[in-house]
Amino acid sequence: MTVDERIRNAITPIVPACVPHTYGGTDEVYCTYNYSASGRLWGDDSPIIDMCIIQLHLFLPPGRDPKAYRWPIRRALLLAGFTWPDMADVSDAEYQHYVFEFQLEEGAWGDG
Amino acid sequence: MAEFSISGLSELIGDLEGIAALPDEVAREMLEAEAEVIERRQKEVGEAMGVHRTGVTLGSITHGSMGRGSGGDRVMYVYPDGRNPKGERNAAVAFVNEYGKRGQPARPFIRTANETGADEAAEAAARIYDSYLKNRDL
Repeated sequence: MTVDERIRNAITPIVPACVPHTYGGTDEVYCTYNYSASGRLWGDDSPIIDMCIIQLHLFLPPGRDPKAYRWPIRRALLLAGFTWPDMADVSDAEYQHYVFEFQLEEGAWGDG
Repeated sequence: MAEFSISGLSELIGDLEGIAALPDEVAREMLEAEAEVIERRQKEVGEAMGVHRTGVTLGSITHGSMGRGSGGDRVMYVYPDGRNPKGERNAAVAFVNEYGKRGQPARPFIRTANETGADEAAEAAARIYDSYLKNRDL
C-alpha cells in the first residue's frame, strides 16, 4: 500500500475530501496532505529504511466544532501505522486550520 | 590472605565527575556545531522546497547564544531573525511556508530539515565531546 493510500484510507471515513497539496472542490470541511521521504540506515549504497515526514491539514469553516474531527483523525492515523501525530492550530480569521505532523518509517512501502 | 589494591581510583572518580559537570564552554561548542548543521540543512531543504522568492527568509536563519531551557538543560535555538524589506517578520513568513494556509500548500522545510539533519548534527557534537574526553585522557 502506498503512503497516499494509507493516508486516504485512514482519513476518508472521517473527512471524505482528502487530497494531496491543494483542494479545489466544494466541501466546506476537507483535508490536504504533503510528505517527503528520506533514506535512513544506509548499507550497500542504499537505504535500509525510508523515513516519511508527513503533514495532514484539516480545514473547517469558522464556527464548526473541530473536536468532532481532531481526536478521530489522530486515532485513525495511529491505527493506520503512523506515529502519534503532533497537532498545531494555525487557524486565521478566515478559516480553521489544524496541522497534524507524523511519520512513517518502513523498509518498503510498495510504489509510494 | 590475598591483598587487592587499586591506584588512581580517586583521579578516575575526579575525571568522571568532571564529565558529569560538562563545562559550559564545551556544551556551547557542541551546541554551536549542531546549530550550524541545522541552519545549513534548513537553508538547503528550504531551497529544495521552493521557499525562495527573494532569499531573505532563508538568509535570515541564524542561531542564538546558549541559554537554559525550561527544564534547566542547555539549549541553542535556530530561527529566522529580523524583518524583510516589507516589514514582515521573517519568522512569520517562515511559519506560513512551514504550515501553509487555505489555498497555499505547505512547505515544511524546518521540520524536515531538523529531522533529516538530526544524525549529522549529533555526529558534529559527538566529535567535540570526543575531543574533550581525549584531552582528559579518557
